[in-house]
Amino acid sequence: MTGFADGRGDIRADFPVLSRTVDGVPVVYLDSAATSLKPQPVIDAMVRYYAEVGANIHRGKHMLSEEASDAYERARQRVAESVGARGDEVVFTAGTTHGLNTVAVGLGLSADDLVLVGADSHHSHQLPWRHHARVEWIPVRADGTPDLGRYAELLRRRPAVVALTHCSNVTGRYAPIAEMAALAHEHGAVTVLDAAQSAPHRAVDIHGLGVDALAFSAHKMMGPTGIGVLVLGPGLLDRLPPAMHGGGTVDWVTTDEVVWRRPPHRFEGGTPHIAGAYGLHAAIDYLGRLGWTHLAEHDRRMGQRLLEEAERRDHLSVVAPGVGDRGGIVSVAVRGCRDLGELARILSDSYGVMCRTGHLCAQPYVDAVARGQVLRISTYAYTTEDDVTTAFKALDEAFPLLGAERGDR
Amino acid sequence: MAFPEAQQEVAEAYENVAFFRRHMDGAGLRPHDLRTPADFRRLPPTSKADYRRNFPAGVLVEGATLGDPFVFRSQSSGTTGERLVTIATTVDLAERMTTTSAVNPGLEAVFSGARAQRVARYAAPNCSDVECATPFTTPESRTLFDGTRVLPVAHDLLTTPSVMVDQAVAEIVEYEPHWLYTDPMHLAFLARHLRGRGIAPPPVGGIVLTYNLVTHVARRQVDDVFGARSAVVAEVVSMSELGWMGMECLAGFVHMNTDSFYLEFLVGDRPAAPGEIAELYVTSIGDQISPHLRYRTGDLYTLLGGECPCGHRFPRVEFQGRGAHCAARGGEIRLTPKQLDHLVGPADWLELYKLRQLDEDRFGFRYIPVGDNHVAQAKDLGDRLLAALGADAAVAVDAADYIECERSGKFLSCVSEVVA
Repeated sequence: MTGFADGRGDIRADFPVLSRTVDGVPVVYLDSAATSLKPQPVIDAMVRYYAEVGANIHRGKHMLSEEASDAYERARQRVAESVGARGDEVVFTAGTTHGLNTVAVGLGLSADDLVLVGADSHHSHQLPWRHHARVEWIPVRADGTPDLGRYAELLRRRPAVVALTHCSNVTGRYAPIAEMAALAHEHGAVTVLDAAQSAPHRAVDIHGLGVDALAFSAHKMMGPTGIGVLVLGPGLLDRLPPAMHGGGTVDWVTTDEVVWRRPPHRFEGGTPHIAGAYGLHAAIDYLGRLGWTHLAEHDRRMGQRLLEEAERRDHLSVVAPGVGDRGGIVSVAVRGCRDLGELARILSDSYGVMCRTGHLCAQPYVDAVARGQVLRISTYAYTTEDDVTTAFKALDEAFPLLGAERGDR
Repeated sequence: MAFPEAQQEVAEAYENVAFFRRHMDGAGLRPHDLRTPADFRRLPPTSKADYRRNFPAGVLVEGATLGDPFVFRSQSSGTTGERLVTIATTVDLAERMTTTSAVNPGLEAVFSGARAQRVARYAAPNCSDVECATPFTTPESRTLFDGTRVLPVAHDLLTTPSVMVDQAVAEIVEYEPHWLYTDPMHLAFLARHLRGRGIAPPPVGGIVLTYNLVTHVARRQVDDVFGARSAVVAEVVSMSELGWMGMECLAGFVHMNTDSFYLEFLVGDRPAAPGEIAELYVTSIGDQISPHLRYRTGDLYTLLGGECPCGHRFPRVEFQGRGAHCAARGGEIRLTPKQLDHLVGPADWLELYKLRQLDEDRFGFRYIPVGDNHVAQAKDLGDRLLAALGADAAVAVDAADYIECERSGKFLSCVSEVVA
């Protein structure tokens, strides 16, 4: 198989980075969980903004400003449509981290409030809660799924918030969000979902999932860096005050009175990432053309292939092994290898294979399951089976040369 | 058609309006060259861009200024988002309104019967000439110079917060307008809220549905609520640039005003036959301040031909929607917004719908269902859409609880993202 086809042939030709070579070796990009590559239509859309429009939005009366404003708001509508939300429920942020912090700050939690956080959460979905409230961890079982029995017990403590992660950036495991959100609501908790790893691969519907808020980033779904989306459901839309105050967030200001604008504008102070909105719109259109069903199938297939390849090798120990609902991410500990950074450099420079090592911004979890470092391989729609084969062959060739200590896992 | 008057308009525009002198000189034409309707079509059409670029110096008749008495200025961002400042005299606009209204004695009576006209407008904020899209406006701040009360609504219709719907509902009941000047999609939205809240509509005499194509679904909802109070409801063809141009008669057909305008319905550069889908080109007649010559509207019509049961001599048409909004494949129109409307029909199983063409082959039809029994109807409609759009098209039919407006603030039932 050469790659994900969209009816026009191999989509890889749309991604300029994939035509690069490193010292004559073609790039094999397997770090899409960190950020995705961008197809040409996304790049073109952003260049179009800077080259042909360039103006600020929602400020001026001139034509260019109006054109930019129209495009910015059209992007919002397109995002809303893709997540089953209304236009006013979609807030443009700087990224997932910004979105999650907006909710954590806006909820006005106190140190006595309890927030339940998944043990495998990304730092961006644990630190804001740890800063504003008291945190209890939802344990993760050996196979990477949440311990739902323990979760039910924790809910009896009446948490104010449950911070859920749709797909772990370490294990690629999907959590049963609809079920967990419904349980949380039964106990009166607000549910906030980190959808950074799921939104690029699956049609994420806020109402279908039943959460009160969800956040994701454009850059992981073929869009630009610096722009993300926070979707606020009806339960939070009018309840949440703006976390950041400034121009664009108010309807009326006197020396002693402020009237906030309606959502989503009250959450978007200052000049936003306008070119980013152009790019995000183009990215969602591009993904729509590929088809969400096909994207999800490809992601599951890649996840299965990664798991099979990793489990077949004695020198690799998979974090959260076993079948189940998982996407195209696998993290492994490498037997006897004390510096995975060195391995990653070898894979990159000698084989053109780009992947990620470290604690993946989930340090407590990676510390617990893999002594603080893993090698992560992650895929996207442009990843082929050949890419995966190349990566594991490179690992096979490089591993014996690392002088890894036998028996040390 | 008022061809001699159109020739006169060209002569006066050439003489008194700088842009048209340059425009005709550029085409190597003088007014006396345009002796027949066929000659007339040699005059290059004008577009929004011409009037925008040349405003005000090039398009005002010599000696006129924006500060003259009876000058009415309107800022439009239009259905296309292509903005334009337009100018006309209130005298011309009143004359066009009166002439147009002659096709509907019912509405004519409403207009002439009310001495102190109370008019309420409910349409996209961009069309309302006043800030009406926040909950912080007052009835006074939304009252136009001619006394028209603009009702509050959000830019994205379905996201209008309850507080603003409450304002609109309370004001329309309290204000008791003689007639309403509304976007049909907006009024249908208000009608649904009136019905949902069990509030009787005010006893308005007439309802003008304009700004937008009138779908069967919207008309059903408006008739259900306001028709019960015997209001005369009529579709009106109007443009910010030119005022009222056509109106629905009591027999239910739209007639175009060919006394105030010289109208050309063209397929390419030839006149359309009845039944053909044609683009409308407009030439004003006797415009006192800013004439329009062969103004290309981008709007599509079908001439119906034959005599109307109402007996009026103005030609009958069916508005098909804007050319840019049609679903098209391979450069060929497969569905105009009106043809889509016929396909959907009054459809009591849905509240609102939108067909969006995403690219050459992909279409999304979303609808807000009424009740639970909509799946079979939606499937049947999906089959008919496929038949109209081509068996190899990809048509996704999905129920939704929200559908967005266009950026113009209008809720369009059929849009295309394919750039023609």
